[in-house]
Amino acid sequence: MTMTDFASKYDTSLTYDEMFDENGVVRSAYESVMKVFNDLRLNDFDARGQLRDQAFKDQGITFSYSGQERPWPLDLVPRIITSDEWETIESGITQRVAALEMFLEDIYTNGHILDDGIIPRKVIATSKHFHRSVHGFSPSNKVRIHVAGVDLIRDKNGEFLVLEDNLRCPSGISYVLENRRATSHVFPELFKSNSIRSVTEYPQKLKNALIASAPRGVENPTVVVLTPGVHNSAYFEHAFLARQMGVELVEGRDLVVHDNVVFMKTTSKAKRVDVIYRRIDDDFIDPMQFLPYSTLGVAGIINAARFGKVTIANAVGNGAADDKLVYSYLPAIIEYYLGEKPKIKNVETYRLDDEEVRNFALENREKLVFKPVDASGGYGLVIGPHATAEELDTIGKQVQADPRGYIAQPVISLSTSPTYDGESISPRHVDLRPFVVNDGEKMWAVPGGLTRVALPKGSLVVNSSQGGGSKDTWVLQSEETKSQPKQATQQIQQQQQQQQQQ
Amino acid sequence: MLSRIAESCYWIGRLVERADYTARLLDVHYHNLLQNHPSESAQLANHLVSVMGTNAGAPMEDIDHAINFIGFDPTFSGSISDTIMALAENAKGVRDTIPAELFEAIHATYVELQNSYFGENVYSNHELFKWVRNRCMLIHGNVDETMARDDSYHFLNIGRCLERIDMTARMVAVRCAMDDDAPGWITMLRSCGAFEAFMRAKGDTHDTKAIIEFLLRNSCFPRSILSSASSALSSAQQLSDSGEGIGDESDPRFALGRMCAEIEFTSIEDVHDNLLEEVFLLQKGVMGVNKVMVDKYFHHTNAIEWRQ
Repeated sequence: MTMTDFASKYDTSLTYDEMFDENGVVRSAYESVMKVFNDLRLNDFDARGQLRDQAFKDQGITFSYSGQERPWPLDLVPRIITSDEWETIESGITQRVAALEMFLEDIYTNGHILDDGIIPRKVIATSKHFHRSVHGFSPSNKVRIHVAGVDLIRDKNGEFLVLEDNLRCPSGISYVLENRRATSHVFPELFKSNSIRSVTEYPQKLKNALIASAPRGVENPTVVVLTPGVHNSAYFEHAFLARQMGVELVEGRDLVVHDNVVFMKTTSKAKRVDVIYRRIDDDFIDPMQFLPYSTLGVAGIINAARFGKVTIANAVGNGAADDKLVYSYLPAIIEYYLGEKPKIKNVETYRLDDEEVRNFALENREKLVFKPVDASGGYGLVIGPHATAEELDTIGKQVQADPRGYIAQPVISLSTSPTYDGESISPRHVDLRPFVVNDGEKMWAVPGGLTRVALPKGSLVVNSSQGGGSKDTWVLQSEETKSQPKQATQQIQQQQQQQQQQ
Repeated sequence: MLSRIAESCYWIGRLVERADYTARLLDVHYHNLLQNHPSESAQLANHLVSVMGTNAGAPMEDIDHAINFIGFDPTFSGSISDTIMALAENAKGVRDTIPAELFEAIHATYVELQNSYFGENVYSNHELFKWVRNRCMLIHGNVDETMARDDSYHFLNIGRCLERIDMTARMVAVRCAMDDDAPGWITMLRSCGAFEAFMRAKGDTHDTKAIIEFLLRNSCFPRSILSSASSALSSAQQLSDSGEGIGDESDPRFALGRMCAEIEFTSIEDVHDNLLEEVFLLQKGVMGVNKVMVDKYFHHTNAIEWRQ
């Protein structure tokens, strides 16, 4: 079976599809990809998939799912974003992160937005991730969100909407880079007729942002990546970033705090640490402040941050701003700090801590999605139309018991993208997580981001911890961003031609 | 030892490095091109061919053309397939001198390349280049672990160090012809196998002078030009008769010692501002040492000519 056969059987009636329009015609951005596929047989496609899997296995690029190490699931059909679409996305997500930075600074210092009643004080006070231990001081360059992952979806009209913000330890960038590399290794033809914006600058941009956030007066700051350890499902990414940035990868037990300064235990003397890019949750990061039994963190690290002797990136306490109830106030937050309307809209959200709204939502529960306000990884999600009667009953009770802990949203039929399921190529729901790096002066978004795919047919859950896959994500160059080729220097050619090879 | 054997060991060293660096050059630049500048295919293709010291007879149309030429063209003596064939020929000639495992590592590389259908499928370019690099590492490993540090080792070592200097200089030359922004330097570091070492040492890919200095003379990095030149110098020391002093242009220690000193004491500003010329000087330096090696140790290998 050739690949073109899949196009004829592809159903685009139910969703906005990334590759095919409503008449089943290939979108212009995907034309050259389609040309490559036209010449391919399905078992050719399979062979490349096997090469990709073997390479990932060899390199240990895996993800833990159900306790098993599996090769990172990468689908070989790319997801393409035009340069115009990207412009919208980029301006929307950087606007959002800018507003959230100001919001976090405000609620952890003066709280003007709360005094002005834009968002009820109790929403913040009851947020599990609002930490009083980091209230009352600002990080040295005021940046708290060094990296953000803003999850976007596309509705049936093809409009991008923000699904959620991830401001604590957003993950997935290593897979963005590895997906690009792997796809270019097994499918080089796809790249030849497309001008795609590069993603390889990310580690350097992150490193620069981390260095810029070091405590004042430190020359040549020492940056480290703090990992929970090899058993963490995202360990590959921690090691990857440390290696790409050329900085040490440390665990909690490698660090010690003395006189509110953080030190690394080395074979020579203890070395001072200035910036910690931590991939450990707030709860585990300091047994003196949070969970006392945590062995992953470093006792006294929060005090060191308070004293301005170390920068923790992303800052502790960011969870107060990516709380899903706070999410519902984002348009008001953007208006308050920036005086602008959101460039990308939120998904409509029902605040269940309001009794009337709650009753309405529960009455219509089989049509809605219920989400815990502070969960991640797709856990705790109840999708009404797909839920069993028992699940609907349980969620009702949970919401009644803890209304502040949940929000509800209408079910959005996410856009789909052609995905290989082992037998054929058919539509699967996708989302997009672009990453924004804030160095205190500018925000930089890596072109594209991680496209996650819900692999089971019809599923809307894209998280890899729930068995989701991913796609290489391309942002096409516009005419301005294409680099101009430099003239070949005659000098080289002349010099080299003079060399005689034996 | 026999001049013929010495020359073969020297060439084994040179050819292994050549195959390794050529595979890296092609692999890194090919994938960088695909991901970042697909429209510059013909231009890059011609660069790569010209830094390999040839002009292929006709301009390259695109990168695949260059890969086929630099990788596999039997008429180009610097092609990977030709290099590996020459490597096997040299190894056969010294089969009695080198360890059996080393011979097998070299010979099996040649056999596998002959038997494979690499190059037919464009998507296996990366696999092929990776395979070549792995085989070269296997050969290096066998040299380092099983060869006694006698003269045969030192000739081999001088050969590989010289080729390493030459190829690194060529990598920098490819970079010189490209745009000034950072990704080009990252590509170059990767093609020398130096990216991660550089990141751990200096870490700033925008600091061009730091990159140049690292590749030129960082003594911790085994593939820097200074490390290679020093290693060649110490092998040359081992080869010389202990009574001889150095002050003689016909002694490889003279040229190598001068090369080391020039590298160690040159100003990086000057190097940075005149990068292409410096690259050219390094390559000239390598050619000079090669000539000295031939004159001092290998000239006895010329076939006997009978005159009427």
